[in-house]
Amino acid sequence: MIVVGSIALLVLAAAVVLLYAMMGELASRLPRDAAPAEDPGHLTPLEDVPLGVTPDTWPEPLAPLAGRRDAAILVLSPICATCDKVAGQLVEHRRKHAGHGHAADDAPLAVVVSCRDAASGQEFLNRHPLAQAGVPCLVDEGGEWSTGTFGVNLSPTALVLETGTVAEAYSFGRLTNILDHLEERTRRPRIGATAPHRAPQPVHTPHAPEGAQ
Amino acid sequence: MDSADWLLTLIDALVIAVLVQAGAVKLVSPAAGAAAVAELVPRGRGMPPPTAAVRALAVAELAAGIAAAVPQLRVADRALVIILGLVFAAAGVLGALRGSSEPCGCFGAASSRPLGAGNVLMGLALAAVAGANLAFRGGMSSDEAAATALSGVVVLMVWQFVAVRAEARVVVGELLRQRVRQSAQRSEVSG
Repeated sequence: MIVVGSIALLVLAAAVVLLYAMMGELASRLPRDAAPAEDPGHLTPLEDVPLGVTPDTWPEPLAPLAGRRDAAILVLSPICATCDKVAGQLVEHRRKHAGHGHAADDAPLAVVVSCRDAASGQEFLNRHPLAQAGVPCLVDEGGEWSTGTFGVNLSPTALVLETGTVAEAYSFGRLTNILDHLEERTRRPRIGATAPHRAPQPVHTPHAPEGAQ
Repeated sequence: MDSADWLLTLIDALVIAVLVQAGAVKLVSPAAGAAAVAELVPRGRGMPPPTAAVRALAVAELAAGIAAAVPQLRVADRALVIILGLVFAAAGVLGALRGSSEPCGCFGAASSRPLGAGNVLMGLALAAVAGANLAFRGGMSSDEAAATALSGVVVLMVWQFVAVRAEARVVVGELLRQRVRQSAQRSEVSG
């Protein structure tokens, strides 16, 4: 009996350690997530998102992006305050510039709402009528497509695509960051196909992750 | 239990604490470990970092830590600890040979050193302790199992306290300041 009790106590202690570790991980994400919003002037390259990935299958709403030379998928989350702002900026931007014909306005953007369940994703899209603003949207339950295909585990993330292949991946704080970047890319002269690269952006150094403790 | 048994029990408690701590932190923060592994093992272009492998390792560490106090699983557990120790040591050797630069992520984001000699030493120590336990301890009585589990709990709790001591100091300091303010207000009212 005493053995069972002791082992149960050990399991409980392990659960407490796990809980502390989860709190540490959550705490370490806060400043990093908040960083782009505090200093929204730069894109932060995401080193842990592999470049050169081409999805085997494209979800129906995002299929048009597969053939575009310069496009971007914005991975947003309903529980991220910056994502909320970015989605609002995107709706506003599309409404304001509808039909003006600027290069950045025509930039093919799509939004993937990485969410716990379909209901929370749909609620995010109801709050931000992106589809009505002409932005292809995908509700990605559990991040199955965005994480499974691209390894994205941070939001907001912008995946810059070259004919369907991930060429760059960034964390960003404002929609204009990514629109300006796409516009700059469209102006770049191309000689044949370009290999995926980490763009020589003025890199915003994210806040160092806190310890997991 | 004689003094040798107590020594082995305390060493087991340390092993439990190391494995549970490392497993728990890696399970929730596998990114650093995955980056370190990705640096060691060449991957195909576009392959995502091996976070699933790091999480599987974390589960094995957690299981090995908890099973260390279960008498019926003693032999299997010590065998698993030996394997884990050798894997850590091998990773350390590879890291040293290839000049690893990514933090090893052994204890999640808190680990800042790359894979190298430290991991070799830690891995070999784990394997040696588990091997010695198998060789010199005939079996595990109920008393020894309970003592191992409880000692493991104590070491883990001390570890947690040390890990969060800075935050704890802030909280305790704030509580004390509130208490002092309240007593000052009370004495002003009564005065």
